Amino acid sequence: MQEEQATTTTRTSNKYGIDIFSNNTTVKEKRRYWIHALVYVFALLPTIWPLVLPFNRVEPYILGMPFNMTLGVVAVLVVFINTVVLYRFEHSTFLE
Amino acid sequence: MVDTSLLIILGIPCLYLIVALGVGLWGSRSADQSQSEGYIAGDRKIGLLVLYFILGASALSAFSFLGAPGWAYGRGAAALYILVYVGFGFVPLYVIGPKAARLGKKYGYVTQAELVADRYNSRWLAPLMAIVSIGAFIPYSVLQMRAVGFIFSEASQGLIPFWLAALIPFAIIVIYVFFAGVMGVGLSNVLQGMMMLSLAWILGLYLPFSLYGGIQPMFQEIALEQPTHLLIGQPELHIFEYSSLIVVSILGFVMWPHSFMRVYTSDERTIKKTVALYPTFALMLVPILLVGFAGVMSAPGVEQIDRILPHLITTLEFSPWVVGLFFAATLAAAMSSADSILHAAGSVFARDFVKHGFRDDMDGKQEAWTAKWGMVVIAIISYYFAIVSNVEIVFLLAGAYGAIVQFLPLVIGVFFWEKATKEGAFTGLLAGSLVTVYYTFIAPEPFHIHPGLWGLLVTTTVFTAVSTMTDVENVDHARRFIEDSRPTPIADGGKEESSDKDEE
Repeated sequence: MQEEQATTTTRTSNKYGIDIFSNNTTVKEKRRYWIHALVYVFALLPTIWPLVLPFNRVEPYILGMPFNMTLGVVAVLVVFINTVVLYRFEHSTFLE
Repeated sequence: MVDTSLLIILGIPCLYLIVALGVGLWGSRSADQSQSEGYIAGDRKIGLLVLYFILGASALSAFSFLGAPGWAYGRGAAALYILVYVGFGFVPLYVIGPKAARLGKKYGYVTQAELVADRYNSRWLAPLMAIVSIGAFIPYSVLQMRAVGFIFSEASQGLIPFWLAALIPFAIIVIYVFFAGVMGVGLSNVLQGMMMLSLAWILGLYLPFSLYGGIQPMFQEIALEQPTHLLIGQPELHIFEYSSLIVVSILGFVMWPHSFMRVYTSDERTIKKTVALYPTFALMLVPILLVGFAGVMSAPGVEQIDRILPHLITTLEFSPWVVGLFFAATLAAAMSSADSILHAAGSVFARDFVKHGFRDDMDGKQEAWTAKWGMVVIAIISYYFAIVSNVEIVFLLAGAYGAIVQFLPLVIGVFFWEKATKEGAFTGLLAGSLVTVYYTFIAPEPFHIHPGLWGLLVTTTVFTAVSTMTDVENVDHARRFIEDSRPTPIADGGKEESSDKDEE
């Protein structure tokens, strides 16, 4: 698979031609990737309709901010942490 | 005494402009500017600090100091959409960035369109995408020019006329982008990004405390007087519109060619780290929004909401040093996007339009020359429109996103779908763009959902359906993009990396 031309032996696509992971990705790693993807989705969903509705309120104030604004900040922080953790999973260490 | 303060207020932005010019030009030493790969992609060796600021400062334009506080001031909690989409915006780049960079290194790509066009084996796709991109770049830089002209002429208290105030900073950009290419963009963006961050946090924390005695007292006062202002939804912005704006903006964020093509300037790990650290830059939207909210009770009735921050700064009797810093940082915010946009516009023009459209035999030197002069011409065209036209800042930006976002399904197809076909790509892009244009300019969008999202739905459907009905010309060619975009095992000693699924 390191060769210029792709060879059919490394083909990993399903019957629809969709090919997300390489053969070198273990089942465990795949599961880990899906979990990270889900964390992004679950961070985003409460900021948009319909899940934002219960959070779309002013009180309680957190760090002085209305609750819906705090929610936005928390979502961005989750993106930050999730991505750093994902990087560490792939490359062992973030600081090098 | 008036003269001394004017000197300070005008002096700081002027000083900044000179430093920006110097820093930008300094970048010319870091890569071979006479060759297209050096000029456009910085010889693919840009590091973390510079990439962080290129992507961060380019993504946040004059809109961050003018439009965003304006939204918080005029439309209240609806402005939170900006915080959310900017925070999530680069996540898709974690997946597609390293893939595009690997293919770029192997096959010499420096733009988004040529990657897509090569995969779909189409001669006309790259020039076509170039036209769409430049069509979006021009209004985008027009916005920056108008902001720059407004800010710089305000700083001089009208001494410098608008046309000249827009001209000087842009001339500086054109000079350093001309001579230093993406390295000039990068180094100046480090300076500009730092100025933006410090000003945002200083002002955003200072104003609520000085005007209201704290952040919570400020919001409590607003909540008491205007209960709906702090809630997402009507009357300010329908909640469907708010939600779809977030989704379409996130999906479109990395499709902006001036963001996407930066992945070719660096390597896998740097790109991923930049994506990981980027939310720290995005959080600067928090103090920015606080500034806008601070205006609600203290400066009611400002008609042009984009001007709420300059209005507060100039009417609140600040020290001239703060006022000068404000003007300089706002200039920096506008210029850090404008330089990136102009550089990308010139590069896209040379590589995607001229080279792939008409002159396949062009060598790297001629191409760099075309990119530089193309950039100059596009800057002149933008300048012409900046002095004549008059459109509200954010809707134009959001509208442009709508067209650009249609590239997304095609890009995902390159990396993950071997059965995607040229016919699918063409018909999908065409149908989606038409729908977006239709709901942007001709008919009101159904259910308050952003036209770009309707377009994306159509692009994806048509692209998938037509690809399924047609056969891929050469499956091995298509496979090559999927497999060569993956890391080669044991490539760089680290853990084997594999593609993550795009979270959308």
